[in-house]
Amino acid sequence: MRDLVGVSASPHMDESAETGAGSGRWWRVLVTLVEHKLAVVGLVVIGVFILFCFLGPVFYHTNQVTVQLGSENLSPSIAHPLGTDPLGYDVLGRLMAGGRITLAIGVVVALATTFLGTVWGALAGYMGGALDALMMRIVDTFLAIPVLFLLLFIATLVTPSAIVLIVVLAAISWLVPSRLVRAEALSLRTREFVAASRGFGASGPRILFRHLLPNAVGTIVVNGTLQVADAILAVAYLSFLGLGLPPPAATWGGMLSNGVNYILDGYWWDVWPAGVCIVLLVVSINFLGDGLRDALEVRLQSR
Amino acid sequence: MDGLPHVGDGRSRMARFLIRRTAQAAIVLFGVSLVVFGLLHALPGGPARAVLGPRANPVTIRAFDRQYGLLQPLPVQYLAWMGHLLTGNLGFSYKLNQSVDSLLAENIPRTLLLVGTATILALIIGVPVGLWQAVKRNHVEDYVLTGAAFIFYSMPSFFLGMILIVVFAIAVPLFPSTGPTASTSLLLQVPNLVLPVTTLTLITLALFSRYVRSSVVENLVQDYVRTAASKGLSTRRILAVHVLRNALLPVITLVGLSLPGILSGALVTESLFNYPGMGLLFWNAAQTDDFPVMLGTVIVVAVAVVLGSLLADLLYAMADPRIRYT
Repeated sequence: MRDLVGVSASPHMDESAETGAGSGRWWRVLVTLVEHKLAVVGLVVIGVFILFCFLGPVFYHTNQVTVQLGSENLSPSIAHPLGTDPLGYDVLGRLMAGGRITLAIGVVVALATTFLGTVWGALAGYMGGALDALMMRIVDTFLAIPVLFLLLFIATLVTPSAIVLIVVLAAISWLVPSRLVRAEALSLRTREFVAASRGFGASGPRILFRHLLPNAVGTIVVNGTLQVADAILAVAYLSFLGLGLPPPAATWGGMLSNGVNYILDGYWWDVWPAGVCIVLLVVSINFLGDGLRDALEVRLQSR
Repeated sequence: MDGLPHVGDGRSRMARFLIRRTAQAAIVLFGVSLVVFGLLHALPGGPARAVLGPRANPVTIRAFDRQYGLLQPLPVQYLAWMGHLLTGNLGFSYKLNQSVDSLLAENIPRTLLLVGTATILALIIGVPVGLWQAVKRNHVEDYVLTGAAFIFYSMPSFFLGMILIVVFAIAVPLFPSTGPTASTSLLLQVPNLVLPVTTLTLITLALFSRYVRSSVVENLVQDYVRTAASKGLSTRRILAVHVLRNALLPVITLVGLSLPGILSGALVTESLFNYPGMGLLFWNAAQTDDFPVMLGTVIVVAVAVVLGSLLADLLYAMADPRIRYT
């Protein structure tokens, strides 16, 4: 029975972790994060991928620009450790090039999404009333259309480029964080310290930026991290749905969804390297997000 | 109001919640209709191009616009279009020479079979797995299953489906690599259903088991568990009688919330396995720019999502008297 009950009253339940925003808090967050084994594994894997993608090309030169007909779909050899793809690009070098774009899209989408979602959610939660209701019904409306149906529809209307991918993904991903931030703002705005600062004559924006947002930062950071993972997956789905980047640009998602067409021909190197990279990276980011959730004491959130 | 203040109060609060929640759903449906109407007019060339195709010349488009009242102000057009929708007329596919209604009527039951089977299997497997993980939390068993759930969760579903095809249709040819055909009843083609259903089940399962695990873990640290334990109740009884009931209620909401994700999963699964459902219909329509079919499908899918989450919320409100009416 002891096994079932007594545990996991979290070890960091002191008051200051909740209210303080000083450097001590971040130190505690770091310590908790380092104790979270899976998060550390995730962090290491992410670091290795960043080195691989950004430093790798310094040591391993490949031509990732011009198509090399005549050397397509070569099986792995010393010259091409992971073979070549249907356009003759070296797969190992392409993983590096594709990884750079994949990571960049993921991070930019996550930042844009987090910004949009935070502003929308904080505003709705802080204002309350009719404006809040209207803003949240707008969110509900777009959430009612399943993402891939919306994406496939958009894919028929636009021609893909990195900018288009980022805009499309940011435009559909800010909905969930806006809900989370709104919920946070709703619960925070009734707390004493907000009432106190209002009593001292603090303006609306000041309360919003100095009090509500800093206290919602855990939720925002955790969701922002997970958004990177979601964006990387979404790029893969977009490629599968026909909104992938055209060559010479490469993404892991694009490599994977192209490779899937060749899997029956036995060209496993067109599929597995990109697939494994995506899964490893997305799992690692999710581990990191989970660790951050524990470290920042964010309650269960629906994703 | 009726002399029994607290009973009446509870009831009227419940009624207010039901009305409010239903009104919200109605507003969202109105929003969806605006979005789809907007998409229709966002098409280059507008609805005329959607119907006549990309190669229609300006004269034909003009004639079409005049004939169908597309030169009228947008609000008038919206009302006319809504009128068609409310009478159940979703338009006509000139590409397939069939009404969108009849296309959807043919394909929706097949998608329901896929989505329904996968969701039920995911619940039957995911709930016990999540519960077991919570009991064994931070032990090897939990780590292994959590890792597996993360991997399925992090895998693009078309990649997962492809792996299943390679393993169970090519390396070990147990099941066919394509879905059933539309020509005979799907129930007569069970082997063809196995891989598509498995793909969708695995993705959904990962989500459900993760959720149940967190939900049970959260309940295990509650005071009522400690009280029950100090009364001397057995672990099994605490789990079965107290924790499970509290932890499983939110699963109703979870199923409602997961509906968009499951339908997206069905879109990918159907197009990968050539499974003749609404997702494949939508997929093929996107390849041929068959906009009436695409718009009709988006409407049906969105209505399903809105009604699904409304139903989940209402069921939850009835099942859990503690619900906060917000």
